Amino acid sequence: MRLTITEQILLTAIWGLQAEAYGVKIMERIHEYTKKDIAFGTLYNNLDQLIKKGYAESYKGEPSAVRGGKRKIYYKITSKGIRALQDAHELQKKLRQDMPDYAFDRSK
Amino acid sequence: MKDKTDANPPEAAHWIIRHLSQYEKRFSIEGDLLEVYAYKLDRLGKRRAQMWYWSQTFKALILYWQFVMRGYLDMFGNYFKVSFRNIKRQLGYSFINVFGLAIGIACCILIFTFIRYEMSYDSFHANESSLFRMVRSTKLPGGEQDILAIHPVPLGPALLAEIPQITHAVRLIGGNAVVSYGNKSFGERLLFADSSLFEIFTFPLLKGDPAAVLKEPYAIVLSAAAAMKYFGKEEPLRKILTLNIDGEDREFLVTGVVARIPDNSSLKFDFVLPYEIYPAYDRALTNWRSSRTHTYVKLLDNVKASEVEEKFPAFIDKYFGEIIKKGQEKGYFSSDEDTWRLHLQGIKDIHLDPSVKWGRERTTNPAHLYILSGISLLVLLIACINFITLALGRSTYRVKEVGVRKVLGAVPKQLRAQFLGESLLLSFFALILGMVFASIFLPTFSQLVNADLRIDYSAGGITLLFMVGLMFLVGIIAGSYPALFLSAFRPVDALQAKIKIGGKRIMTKSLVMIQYVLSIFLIISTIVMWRQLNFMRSKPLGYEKDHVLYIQTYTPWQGSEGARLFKVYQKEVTGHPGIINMAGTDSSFTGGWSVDEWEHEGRQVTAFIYRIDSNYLDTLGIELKEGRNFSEKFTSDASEAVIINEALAAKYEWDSPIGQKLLGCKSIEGMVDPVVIGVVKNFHFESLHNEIAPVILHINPSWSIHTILVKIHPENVPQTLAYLRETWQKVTAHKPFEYYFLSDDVDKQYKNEARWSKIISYSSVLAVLISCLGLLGLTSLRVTQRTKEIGIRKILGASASKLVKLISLEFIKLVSMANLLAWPAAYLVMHNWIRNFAYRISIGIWIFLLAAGLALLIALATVCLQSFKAARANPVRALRYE
Repeated sequence: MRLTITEQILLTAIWGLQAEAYGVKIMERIHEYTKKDIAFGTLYNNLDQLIKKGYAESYKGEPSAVRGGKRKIYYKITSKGIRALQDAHELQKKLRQDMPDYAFDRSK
Repeated sequence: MKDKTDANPPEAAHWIIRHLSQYEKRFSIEGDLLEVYAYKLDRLGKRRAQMWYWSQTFKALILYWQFVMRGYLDMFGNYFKVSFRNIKRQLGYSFINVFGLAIGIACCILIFTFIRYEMSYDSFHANESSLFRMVRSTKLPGGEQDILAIHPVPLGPALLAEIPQITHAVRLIGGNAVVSYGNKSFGERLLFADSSLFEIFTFPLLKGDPAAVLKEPYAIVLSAAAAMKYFGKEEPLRKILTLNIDGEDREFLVTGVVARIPDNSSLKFDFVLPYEIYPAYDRALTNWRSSRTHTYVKLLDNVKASEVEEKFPAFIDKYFGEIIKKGQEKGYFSSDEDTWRLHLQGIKDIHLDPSVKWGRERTTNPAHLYILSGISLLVLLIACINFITLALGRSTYRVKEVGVRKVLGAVPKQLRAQFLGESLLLSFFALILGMVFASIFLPTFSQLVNADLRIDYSAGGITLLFMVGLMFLVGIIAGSYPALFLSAFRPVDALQAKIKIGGKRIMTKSLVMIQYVLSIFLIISTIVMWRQLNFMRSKPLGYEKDHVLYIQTYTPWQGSEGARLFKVYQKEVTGHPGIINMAGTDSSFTGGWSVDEWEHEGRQVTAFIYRIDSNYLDTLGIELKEGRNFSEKFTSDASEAVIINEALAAKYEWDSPIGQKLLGCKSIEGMVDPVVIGVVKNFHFESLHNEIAPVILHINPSWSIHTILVKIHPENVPQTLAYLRETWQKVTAHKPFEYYFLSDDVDKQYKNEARWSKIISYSSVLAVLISCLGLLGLTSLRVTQRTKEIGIRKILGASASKLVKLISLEFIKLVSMANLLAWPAAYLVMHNWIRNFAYRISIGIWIFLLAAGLALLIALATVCLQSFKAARANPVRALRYE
């Protein structure tokens, strides 16, 4: 099964954040990519789906004072996730090849 | 550094979030939110940060619903499916269940609509809260109270002059006239009214100015129906109508037309004339002795009735003081200080107060409304009990389902929700069905109660709320047994069918019994009511009402024109084969009366007085007990002779009344101390509500003949009527021929009772039917439960009749016990009701036995039908069952 765009964005964000991949940071990263805010509820639902499908894993961090003493849950991409991401990128590359730059030139 | 509370997100939102998130992720999500919140708080300020937090919460809520309900919807879908299958599998029971309840609800809705209608009388007047009817109460020497709606003519103007809080006083008085326009001519009822009638009451005028219509001296205002009758499509305004009032032709100018008067108005009229036109108005204006007119007043806005009533004692002293003193001396009234009082009766209270005598329109006894609402609630109760007992019985079949559900992981909470939901669903379905039935039967019901009814759920919000509440209760009770009991089983027991439902079945049994108690109660009440009404209709009245018609002569009340007309007419028609006899009188029994009072040896004598002629007794078949009839041979009969009835003879305590003088009676002009020449047997000239009062019959010509009684042959009635009409028009030239049958009038006296007993007996039949339905369902359930037992008994040699007896006995016991409970209740209630009548049946024991027999018969019929089927069935099949 191929990754959806949301899943691709999430996995890319998790990979990019490395050891800092927890809720707030992931959300910020998504905002950078898409310029859109999503609710935490949506975010966690999607993260759950990723874990269920085996593309990502989670582990608990230490509680910190900034967060009112609440624990963080960190996310890590799995090798299955990497492979899926790679598949997705390859598909996109092929698609991109068949679509020359001038096709996007909208001034015409 | 900011205050610590400032750093925290909104409490409520925080609480929601905490409860929505799943346990393992809870801290993480909370933490994330807090982190971003702190960041936003710094950058955007408290308000924006809080708003953001709330928006996050709402988004989470929406997600939660989408996520969680997906699972629940599947579950509910299954509940629906199973419920539906259950309903389909036991279609008969489900039908009885829902249908019975729906009928009960429909009955209730209709009856409450009717009651609301009866209570809505006169509420359409814009200023109903400041409109009052004047009512007078007098204490009689015996301590009884006489409450009257009629007053002296000058009362209205005097009130207006003396009491500043009264802004308007309208006097009303009825009358008769022959109204003609062109070649149309009919006898009509008139209403004479003060000119502010259309200003204070809300009777909108289609044409004419409310303030001016009655101010012109010979003005007349018509109802839309009357205008249509006389003028058709012509413009009625400024047309001239000729009215023959008291034998005198007068012309009136139509100045206004009234819009249709609502059915729930206690004032109704077709022809309104200025009050001053009323015959002999000028003389009446100074007469404080005789009461004849209705008087309505309007108070200033925001003035309380009690405030005005405080001023009445002084007013009464001034105007009635002398009359009261004389009356007390003569012993007419009690000698108490407050023997004579005036009251203001709110216009909305008029319709439901039958204690006031001489009102304008018929009233409704509120007791009837109570009885009716009581019965409708009983019907509803029976239907509800049905619903519950059947639901309980049917739940037996659900044991296995419960077992399977439990094995599949259902928790008791879910099972409870399922069963409660299912029975709630059914009860609300019944409610909707009941509302549909109610609207279907509304036209029929409106006809039955003779009222223009409309179901208005928005205005009757309380009724609807009550229904919804009741359905909720019924649903809960019906569903509670399976919900609480079945959900507590161990699944293995349930699946192995080890569970015996019910045990002693006390709940079901007592419910069935209550149902039967109510049904028997209603059967007894219905029988008593029918018997009483039939008794009144068929009781020998002392005269023959059948095939007697009466014709109004429309001649003046004074003078000999009526007698002359009667003579001419009598001469013309006598000899026709269809006419057996005819007589002249001043008024028929139901068409009016003259009552007079005088003193005899310190006691007050009240008698009804009728002017008759020598044919009268024969025409009506009134029996002469002793003495003789009036005769032309005795010329002195007209000037000094009277015939009295047994009641009057008893009043005077005469052993041999013939030849005695009625001392003190000055009722008939020119006749002092009249001599009794005959005594007739008592006859019921009034309705049977009243005891027979003393009567004087005379033929003195100072009283005019106003009504012609004709006894006709029962065959060829149409031909005879046509002949009478033809001759009448020939003799009178222009007078309308208006005839009525005496029997119709007599029936009318009991119309109200007949109407009520009809409504009440229909509802009772309905109640009994619904309980039969319930019993039918219940027995068949019971029989199915005992299928195996019946099979075994059969194999061991029990006969079909033995089996039927076995099953029936249980129910017979129930019904017998119900009888014992219902009898005393029914006796008490009916005994009280029947006391309203002067002539009444006795409530015999046979009525109770009949009701008991009926109830038993119905129960046995339903039970036997079912048990016989079971008993006849092949035992092998019965044993294979399950």
